[in-house]
Amino acid sequence: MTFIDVTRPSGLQQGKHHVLTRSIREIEDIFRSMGFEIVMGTESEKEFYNFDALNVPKNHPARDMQDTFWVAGPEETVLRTHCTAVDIHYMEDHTPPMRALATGRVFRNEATDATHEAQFHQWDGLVVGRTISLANLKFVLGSVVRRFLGNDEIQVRLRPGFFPFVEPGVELDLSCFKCKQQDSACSVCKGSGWIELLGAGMLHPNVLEKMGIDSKQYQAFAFGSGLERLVMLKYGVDDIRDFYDGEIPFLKQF
Amino acid sequence: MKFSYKELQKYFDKPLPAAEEVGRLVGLHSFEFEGSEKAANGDTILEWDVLSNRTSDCLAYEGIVREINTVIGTPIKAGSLDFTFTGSSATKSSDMVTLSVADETLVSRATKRIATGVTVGPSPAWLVEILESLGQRSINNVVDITNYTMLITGQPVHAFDYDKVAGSGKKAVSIRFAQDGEKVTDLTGKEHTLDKTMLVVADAEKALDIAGVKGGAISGVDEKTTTLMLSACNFQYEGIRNTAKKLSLHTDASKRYEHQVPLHKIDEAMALMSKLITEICGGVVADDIVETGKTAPARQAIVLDPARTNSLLGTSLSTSEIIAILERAYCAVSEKDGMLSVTPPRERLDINIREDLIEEVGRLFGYANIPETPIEEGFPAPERNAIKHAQYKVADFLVALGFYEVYNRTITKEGNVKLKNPFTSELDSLRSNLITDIRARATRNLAFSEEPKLFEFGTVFLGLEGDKVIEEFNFAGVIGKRAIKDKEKTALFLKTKGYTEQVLSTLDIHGAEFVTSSTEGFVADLVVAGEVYGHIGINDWELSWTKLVKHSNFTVSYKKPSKYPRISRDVAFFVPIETTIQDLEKLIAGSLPPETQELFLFDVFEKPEEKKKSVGFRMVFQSDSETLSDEWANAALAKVTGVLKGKGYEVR
Repeated sequence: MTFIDVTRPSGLQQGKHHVLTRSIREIEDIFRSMGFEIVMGTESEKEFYNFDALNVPKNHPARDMQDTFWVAGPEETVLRTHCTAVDIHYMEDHTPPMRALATGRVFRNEATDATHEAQFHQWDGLVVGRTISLANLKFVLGSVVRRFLGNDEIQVRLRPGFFPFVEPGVELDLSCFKCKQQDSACSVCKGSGWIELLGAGMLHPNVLEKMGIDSKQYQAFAFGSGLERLVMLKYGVDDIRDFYDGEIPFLKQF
Repeated sequence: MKFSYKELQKYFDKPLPAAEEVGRLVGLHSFEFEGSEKAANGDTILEWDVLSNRTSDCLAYEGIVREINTVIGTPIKAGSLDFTFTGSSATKSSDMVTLSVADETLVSRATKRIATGVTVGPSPAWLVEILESLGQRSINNVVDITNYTMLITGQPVHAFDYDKVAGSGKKAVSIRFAQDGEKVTDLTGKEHTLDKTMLVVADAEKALDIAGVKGGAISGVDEKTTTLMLSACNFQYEGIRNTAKKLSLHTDASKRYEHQVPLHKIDEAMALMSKLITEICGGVVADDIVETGKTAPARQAIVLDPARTNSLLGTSLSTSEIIAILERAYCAVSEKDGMLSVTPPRERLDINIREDLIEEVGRLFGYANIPETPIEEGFPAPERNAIKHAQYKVADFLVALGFYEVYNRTITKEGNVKLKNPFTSELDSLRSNLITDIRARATRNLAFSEEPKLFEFGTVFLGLEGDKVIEEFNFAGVIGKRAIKDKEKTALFLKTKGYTEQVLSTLDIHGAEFVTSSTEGFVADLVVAGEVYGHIGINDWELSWTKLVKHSNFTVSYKKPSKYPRISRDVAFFVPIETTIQDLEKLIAGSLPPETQELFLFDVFEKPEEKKKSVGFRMVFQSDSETLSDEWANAALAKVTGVLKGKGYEVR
């Protein structure tokens, strides 16, 4: 009988999805299982969709030249600073009830370093209905965080926050899965036991009304989170620039 | 903002919880606790990141003290936040200064008060201590008092050296617009050039300061000063913000004005400042004030439905619990027919609509006490995102073939769409294609792989059409090679073409054609339904993804396969080297019978020296109704051979 060396390499080699794609697909799957529609939008937006519709007044610091990239040529056109703009388009084109998650690339005009890049990604969504509450927000985001991080023990907590398009506005933290809230010298949570994650809240009535949604009949929550930060937390990546340098020794680890 | 724990404690009768605990509790219910540090004198300095909608009341001890009382419950020492002052009638402000204002919409209220016989010198130890614990320098007693007054009340105030103000007797002071190009040197000695949108406090001859932002050197208080003009004003926030931004001059004063200071604080601050000037600097402070503008309007009541409060928060608080919480937050609440009428306190400029009240209830009840609750109401099944679905299918397929997915940067050196405000002047464009960077990446990855295969999905910016930015969502890939020899080109191109065809097949896109390309850097154009959807090079490609996916069409027109045997014939012949396989296929197909199941190229052999190539095609026949004979097949072949010979091709 011919000897066949079964330990010889086959020569077939798989590649890898980019870790950000892998992560966003996981997040999208979790949201889809909860009835959310996944939506995309354009990377450049009219000021209206990035600021005005979100109750950000004309002279608000958020509109400062220094945080936002403005496109040369067309009037009032920016590179979107968040995916919330996509949610606004969604509200314009749909009627309640709605559940949508927008994912994609966003831009901030900042110096590039280990934790900042000019472009990064967000997942940003909303739920509009008759009885939607802050308690629902806590549940949805708690579930997403637990499933994405693969840890049923993770808790989320809400703290007061301020964003012009939500009221109440909250900051959401997750319990430190690294030290389980036990290590006062934990490098991840700095000993506080909590990791900051995202901003959220109940959509401001001005925002709903601008979208033609009766704020007396409907209640909505919205949330928006950076993607890279969450991925860096999950896998221990320490330099955001690695996601965009396209080198195989990095890409193949995920 | 930093707060001295020792100073905070002065406003409470009972002991506060430990400093860290105060920090943590306010951090949970009000705004983020940044941490604490020990001061040299043993005091603890607490720092909170006051939210921008709370700067009107909480960039001040007064606000934080109330907040601590609201959140923790420790009672405030009676009278400690009552700022009143009775001056002397021996000095009359109205005899010494008149005040006019250029625009009352921009200067909602302005006040001036005179203090005579003042001795400027070092501040008492307690004042120096509190300023230094917050990282501020003690200057002199007058200046320190103005800084302290702002810390306590949140109202910026200023003291001018009255003798440096032009005029005699009743000196005319105005708050006017600066002239374009008017220069003012501030208290630190820096000169600023103003424009006509900026406000200044001025006398008859010159500007005395940059209103709402910073005091001027020309009217500054020094050791020789004996008469003060105390000033407390309120400005419309936008004007101060613009001035501070244009001058790149952000001060504690401008920071507060930018978020609007409650109007009534002028009276508190003027009273506190006057009291301290009297106590610390000697001198006689006038009882009267010279003023313009209006006083704060009464706060309007907001209607709040307890049911809606519970609905928005997801809680089940009783009406009396809700009332108790709002009263802790200094609201006046009355109830009628189950609805609440809530009047917020005058310093809470952030409370205007019922949702603001609901936030008060929520945060003070404690968000930790709101349980995670699944959504009860139903929802229709959402549509699948077709573009993403196709993208993920193709990504899975390429990964299985050994490709790595990359993300490249959007902002680049070259592109058709530019940025008005790039971060660096070099990177001022938005990428107009994916291929440039992905090719560069492949080259760099040769350090890690003999044949790095990369792909990317991403948005590119093609250009502008009038007022619109034209974006496309594209898909690109590259097979990295160190060098491509001439004789390898066709084989490599066919491999790349193969990947592209498999992508189309994965998406059920039919009828795509590959046409010789005239686009530089590419070999073929991908044409679907008469439109070019992308370009393919020898070892790379870039396609318009969103457009392509629209042609995805999975349809079945079922035909039962024949049970009769198949029979095939081959034909090989020479053609000029540039004759395309596609043209030959069309030629042969045109002469084939309907029983033909397949026609495919099985061999190509080039003889470049003779400028010709040999091609071999196989034809497979099958009938639905009978077994086809050799004679039948030979006849079909003969017809094809005839057509080929008729074209002048040498049949082998």
